[in-house]
Amino acid sequence: MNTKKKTIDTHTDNDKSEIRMKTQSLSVFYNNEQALFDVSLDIYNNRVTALIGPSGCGKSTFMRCLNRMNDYVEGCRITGKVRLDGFNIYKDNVDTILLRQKVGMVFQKPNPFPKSIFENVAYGPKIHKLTSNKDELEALVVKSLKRVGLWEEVADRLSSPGTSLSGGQQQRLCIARAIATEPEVILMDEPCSALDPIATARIEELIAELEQRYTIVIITHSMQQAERVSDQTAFFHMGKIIESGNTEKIFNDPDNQKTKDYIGGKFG
Amino acid sequence: MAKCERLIRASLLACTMLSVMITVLVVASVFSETMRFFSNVSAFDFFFGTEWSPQTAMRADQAGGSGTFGAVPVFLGTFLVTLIAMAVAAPLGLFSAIYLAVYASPRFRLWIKPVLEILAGVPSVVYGYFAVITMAPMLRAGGEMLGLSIASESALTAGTVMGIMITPYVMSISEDVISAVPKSLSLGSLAMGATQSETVKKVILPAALPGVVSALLLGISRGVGETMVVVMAAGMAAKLTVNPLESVTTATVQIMTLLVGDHEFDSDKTRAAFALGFSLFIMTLFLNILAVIIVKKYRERYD
Repeated sequence: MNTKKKTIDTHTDNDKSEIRMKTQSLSVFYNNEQALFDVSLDIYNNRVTALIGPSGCGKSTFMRCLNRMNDYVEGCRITGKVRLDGFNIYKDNVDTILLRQKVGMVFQKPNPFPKSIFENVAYGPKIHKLTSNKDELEALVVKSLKRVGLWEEVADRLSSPGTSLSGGQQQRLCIARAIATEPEVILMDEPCSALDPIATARIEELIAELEQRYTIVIITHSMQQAERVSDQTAFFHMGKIIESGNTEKIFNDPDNQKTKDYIGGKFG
Repeated sequence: MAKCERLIRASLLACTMLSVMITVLVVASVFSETMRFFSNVSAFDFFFGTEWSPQTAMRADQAGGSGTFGAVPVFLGTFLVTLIAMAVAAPLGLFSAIYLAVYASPRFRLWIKPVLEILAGVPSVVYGYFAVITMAPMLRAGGEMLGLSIASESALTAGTVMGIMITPYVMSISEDVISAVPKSLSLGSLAMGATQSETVKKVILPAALPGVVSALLLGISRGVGETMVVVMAAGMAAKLTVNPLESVTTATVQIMTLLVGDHEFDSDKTRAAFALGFSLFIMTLFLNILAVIIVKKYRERYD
């Protein structure tokens, strides 16, 4: 598939310098242990922000704050602010259901539901009642599958189980499922860690396409991947952001010695 | 040293073979008695006859009483009591399993599961007493208020108490299969913006369904084979009825009454007990095999 970044989508009038999400002195505690310390980060519109850092540095914790999935972690407590389009999502009266429609998530291991391919993608639209009839729903499912480049591969077997697909296809199905609710932001927690290099390349290609429409935050342990797919990079270490900014700058000319060491493979 | 190892191995093997052989012998003896029964009484009359009155002669030379062995009322009673039991145990067991597996805090779950498992270990005779002393009068009083007359021994009493008895069992197995649904699936659903109950309904239960079905099948096979509660609470008379307010009898009750007492063992009457027992054995065997097959199929999907 030929993927010329700019030709895929012409209607992007979104300003890339606009901030879509923003955390302000965000701290997270698991019971009495602090996992994140005063983290402030801007996530720019229609860009890919990579979160890198050694295991246990708090990047997953940080990501789970962006769609409030930490609500399901026992003993998790949060201070500070997380803003989506300027609005603090940790206010008491926030509808997390609506929040998660706007901020989708893709997990480390592909996790299609034990349902058909069609039903997997239709899951979100049905829950959020995004379509009013069957034709609209079908059109939305097809659109979502096309957008992740899975349509040609599954068009003739929409009713077979989602788990019957290969690992890479399953992960693209999960991305299709996430974008079917028309989110603004997509969170990806090591989306390629369970995939082979070819499937990984396909997902990376897809991320580049999706960037035209969505704001993407991706966690990765692969420095090459972060460098390839992201515009912005934040380096986490021991629950703090050591350095963040333009990916090119972080990888070629980091300000901090620790960043340099991590990217150079000296620890991690 | 090697000799010692061989000895240990041989004795362990002997134990294994002994238990297998005993099982085979039990089945064989029940089977041969059943066959002898069917050489005197036609199998058709047994499985399709609607009158059960096995009171044959006490002594071989006594006149009268050849007995009729139409087992339909007996199996119908078993079926009715088991159905009522499952009507109690299925929702109670399943819903509490959902609560424990999905909603309860780990601390609560850690505390409540052993308690419920202790409940599963209470001897059935205790539940029998509970049926007679507590449940039967309660249901009678309740029935009177509604203008219903409930027999002191009834399918409803026996079934309800049996249901209470197998609830922890159904719950424990259901909880295991629901907990076995990968966490990534429910997190995936929650991250889509589904609520907890939508996630249970649309993702967790469909994924756990085969396991839940086999939990229910195992519950049924326990109910079918249960004796003490029905002996104490269901009744003795074989009535052809599906009215839960009347007394019914079950296969296990009949087996017990046929074999208890001082009479000749070599008669159609006692052999009828073996025929009933063998039928029950086939039934529960079938249910258990079905449950195992379903669980196995379901395991394969996630491993």
